[in-house]
Amino acid sequence: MRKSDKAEKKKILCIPLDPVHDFGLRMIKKKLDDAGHHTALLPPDLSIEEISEQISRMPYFDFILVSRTIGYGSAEILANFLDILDALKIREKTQIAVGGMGISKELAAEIGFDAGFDASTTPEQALAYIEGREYVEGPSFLGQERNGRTKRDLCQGFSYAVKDKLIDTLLEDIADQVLTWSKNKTTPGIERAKIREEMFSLTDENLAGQDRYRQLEKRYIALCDSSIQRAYMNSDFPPRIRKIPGTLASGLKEFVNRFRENASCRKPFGEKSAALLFAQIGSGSPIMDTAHIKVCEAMGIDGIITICPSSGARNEGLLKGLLNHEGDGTLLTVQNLVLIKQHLDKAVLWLVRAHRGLNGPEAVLYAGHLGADLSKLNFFYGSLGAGTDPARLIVDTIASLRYAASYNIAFDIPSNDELCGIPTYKSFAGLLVMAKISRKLQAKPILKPLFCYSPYIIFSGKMSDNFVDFNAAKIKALRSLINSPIWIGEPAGFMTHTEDRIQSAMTTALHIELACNLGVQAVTMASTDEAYSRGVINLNPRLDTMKGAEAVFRFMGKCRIEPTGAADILADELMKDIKSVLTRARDRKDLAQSIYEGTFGGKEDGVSPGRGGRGTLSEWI
Amino acid sequence: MERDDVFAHVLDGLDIETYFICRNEKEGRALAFALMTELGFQHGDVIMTEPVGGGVRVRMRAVIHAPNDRPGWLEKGQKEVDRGNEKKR
Amino acid sequence: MEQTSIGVVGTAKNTGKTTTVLGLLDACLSETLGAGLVGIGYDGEELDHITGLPKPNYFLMPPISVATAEECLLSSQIPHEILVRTGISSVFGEILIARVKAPGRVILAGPNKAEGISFVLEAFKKIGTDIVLIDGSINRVIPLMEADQVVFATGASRSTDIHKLAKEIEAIHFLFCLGRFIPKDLGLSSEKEIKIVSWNGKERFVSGNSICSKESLERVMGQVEASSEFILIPGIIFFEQWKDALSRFEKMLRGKQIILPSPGHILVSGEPVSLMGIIQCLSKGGSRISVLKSISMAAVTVNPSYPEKKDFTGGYTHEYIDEKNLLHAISKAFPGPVFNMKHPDSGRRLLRVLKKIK
Repeated sequence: MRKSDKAEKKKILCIPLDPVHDFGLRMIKKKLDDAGHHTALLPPDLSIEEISEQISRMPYFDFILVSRTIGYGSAEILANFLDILDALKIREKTQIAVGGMGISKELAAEIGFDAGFDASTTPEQALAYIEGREYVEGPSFLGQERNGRTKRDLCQGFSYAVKDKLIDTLLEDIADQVLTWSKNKTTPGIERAKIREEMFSLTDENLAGQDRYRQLEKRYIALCDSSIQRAYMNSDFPPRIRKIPGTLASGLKEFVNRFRENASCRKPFGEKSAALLFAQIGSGSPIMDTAHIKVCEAMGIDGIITICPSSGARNEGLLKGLLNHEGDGTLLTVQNLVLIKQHLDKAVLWLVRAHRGLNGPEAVLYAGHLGADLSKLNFFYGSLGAGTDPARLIVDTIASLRYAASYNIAFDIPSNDELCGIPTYKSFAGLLVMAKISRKLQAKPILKPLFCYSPYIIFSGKMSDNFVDFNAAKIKALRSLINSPIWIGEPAGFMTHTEDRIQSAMTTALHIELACNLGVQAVTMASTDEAYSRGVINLNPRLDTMKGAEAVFRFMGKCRIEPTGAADILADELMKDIKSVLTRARDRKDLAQSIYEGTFGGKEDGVSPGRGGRGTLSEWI
Repeated sequence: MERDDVFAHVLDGLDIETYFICRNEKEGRALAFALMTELGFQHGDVIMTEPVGGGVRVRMRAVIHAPNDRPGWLEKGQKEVDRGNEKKR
Repeated sequence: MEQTSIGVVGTAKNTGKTTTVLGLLDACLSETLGAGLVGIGYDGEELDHITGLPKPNYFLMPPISVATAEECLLSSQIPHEILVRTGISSVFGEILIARVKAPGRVILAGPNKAEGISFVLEAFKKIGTDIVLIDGSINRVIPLMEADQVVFATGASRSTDIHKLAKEIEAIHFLFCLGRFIPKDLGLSSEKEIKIVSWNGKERFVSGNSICSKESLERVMGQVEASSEFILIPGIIFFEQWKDALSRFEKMLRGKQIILPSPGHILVSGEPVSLMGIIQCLSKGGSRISVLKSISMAAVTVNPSYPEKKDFTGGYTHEYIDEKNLLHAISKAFPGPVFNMKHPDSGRRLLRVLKKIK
């Protein structure tokens, strides 16, 4: 490599050896001119003789840049041209490079050029070559902190102050009530989490440590459902679950290493847009998940949400081992999570869910202990939209919040209960209650409203004209009520997707753009397989959406999607309705009962409280 | 249903998209061609290759009925008309 | 044995240059001749960059010496001993000359211009290599004019019209048979200038080292006088430009000699058949074209196969023209030996020819 002699300005001749096209060379010439170099550009469609004549009469150049589309026969033309330059004695002092469609460094070298550039070469790369320096595209994002920067803390700078005094009072009362109510209660989920915590703390690998581990595991198993117990004791796994051979896991390591060597990567989305972009990945195989994650990382994803199966949430106890699940969702086992974490780019945020089912506290424990950055908790959604008993889930969630606080991991409060039919205002009332409880426990909540076309919205006609106003109203309402980070939840544009790939990518991309315009901190994207519910989500559909989002960002630039005046009216309505839900809940003086009775979503909305884990609460003595 | 029958129903072409784990765009392109040949397609092209991560995203197109072909679906349609006419007679 | 260097020139890509070189290398080994190998530019990949078809590999046996870039030598992992560090840099690092110590595959990355080849040949000479083989690149000619002899590789990749191929070889041979300019007291005074020398020793100069256009032809001819005897062109002439002007300058050029550096410097300027026609016209008109360095066109090798674009693969397959007809037609057009290097023993027979000529 030549020494960098950036200070010295070079003389460059650009030659389009092509009948028509010189656009690439024009762009490079402009870059070189802007950098202060002296350039000349011959027009296209000159014969070799004409070019030779011009060159022979021109002053000496440091570089000649030739552009040509390679195809059958053009290698001979380029080789002949080089020979002519050799014969004209040009080559003694001038470096000659070629670029264009189909050109590669190796092909250029085969023909005899001093350098070769393909069609994707940027003017910046050409400038680096002329100036004799290594071209650095930008920080390499794989396998290391992105440019030495740490991950973004989504909660930084937010005070969580509730801006409406009345609502604040209502929330305080509700939160205090439920914390008092839950104080002496425990659940099998909490007990298992405590055992697991102790198991994690064991560092002695000697006999005594192993013995203690076994004892603890025995106690753990005793608190699990029979299906989980059978898996531990006899390796008799529930249907559609099987062990992953160790060879696959070691093969994965090699794959990821090769990936790191060969991978091309783009800037993270969070650098291009205001909000961080997340993908949710849970194919059932931590190996396939890792492959998807690596490619998404290369595309610039900022964060990954590991999706676990809903079936797992219904059982007491989590399985052990590197396990495959044939179906949607990757099993929450320590080994699966360790594998995923092992290969995750250090700068990519990682969320492990814990918002439903009977294993919440343990799931948050896993998240904290195994290095996740975020979790997910919401007993309203978990009980009204995901089948867990409200009282059980409230107690579990409070324990989960304590774990989250102790590990200093933030968590989002999803509002997917909207999709079950629950009106937005009831769902949002739940978000605020969760946020208040979290803050009392020093945890870091992130509100997660949905941009969706939910049953409530369909029936109420609030999006009959456009998908902008009501979504904008949601954000406006939340921002008016509380100073909190907001993350548009899984996924943006829910229920607006069809199986048509283009439509799906388009709707997600526009929702992402809207979210960014509204100043949210993060967005979760859908794949274009979003509406396809019968099978596995492939990689390409994820990339579809990311490309779509890129295209919309580029299209919009600094322009904005602006809601109409209807958004303000809708926001006001939301706030009013939220207030009335909270008032009812506060007056009831029993949050669990409020949930059972439908204050936060009931039969009239098409939901009923879950029954998973009902009757499993016990009191501390 | 026989293979030829199936393809007779395709209006013009068949697009296949996938993601290949491979070293570079060149290899991805070669794999795309190999795949289409393996699937038994004679005519077509690779529409798009895009290196992403440690592999390449590709979209391939097999031409089933080119504009200057006699499309199977037209002949098929004609056959059905003929059969219908036979029955009427 | 005094060192000889043999350049293998292709009329196009895929005409069998590397196959010719490999055949010669095998022959050198079996006759225990010290052989050296250098290529123009970069070669040695398994698949052709454009057609995707497999290419012949440089699988080398000891004690062949090879000039290649440091990066390529290291990545080949072939046991070797570095003999010379040439100081010539390339995209793949400095070009070294190394002796192969065990069989293995090597990627060649050699100098990509004439000056570099000249330097490498000198380095091979210093280490006592008997025969140096220069594998050409695509259809490049100029760097191979540093060699002592050339072998032309042609075939169906150039054209599937056998008659056209034969005519072209005939024309190339014609150019390589142009006389060598002898007088010792005349040389190129400056690489940048055209020199016109009269019989009385008077010299006139025209700026530029080549005649690339009608305007530059006019400028040069403007300096040619009745007493002018030699016109030395350090670069090239695009003879095609002269086609229309020939009748005008015919008288002026009568009895004069136009001298170019080498046959290669003529060959690069146009289609061989057309060049032959123009030069024959000039000769008829009483002028002479000669070269400063005469290089023997020792043999021709033919390759009947060519890459044909397959309908869907987007890639290519090998197709063939009639080999017998091809050999016959080229043999008629070229008085020297013609080989298909895929035939057994072709390498040895070709080597014998080359040794005889030297």
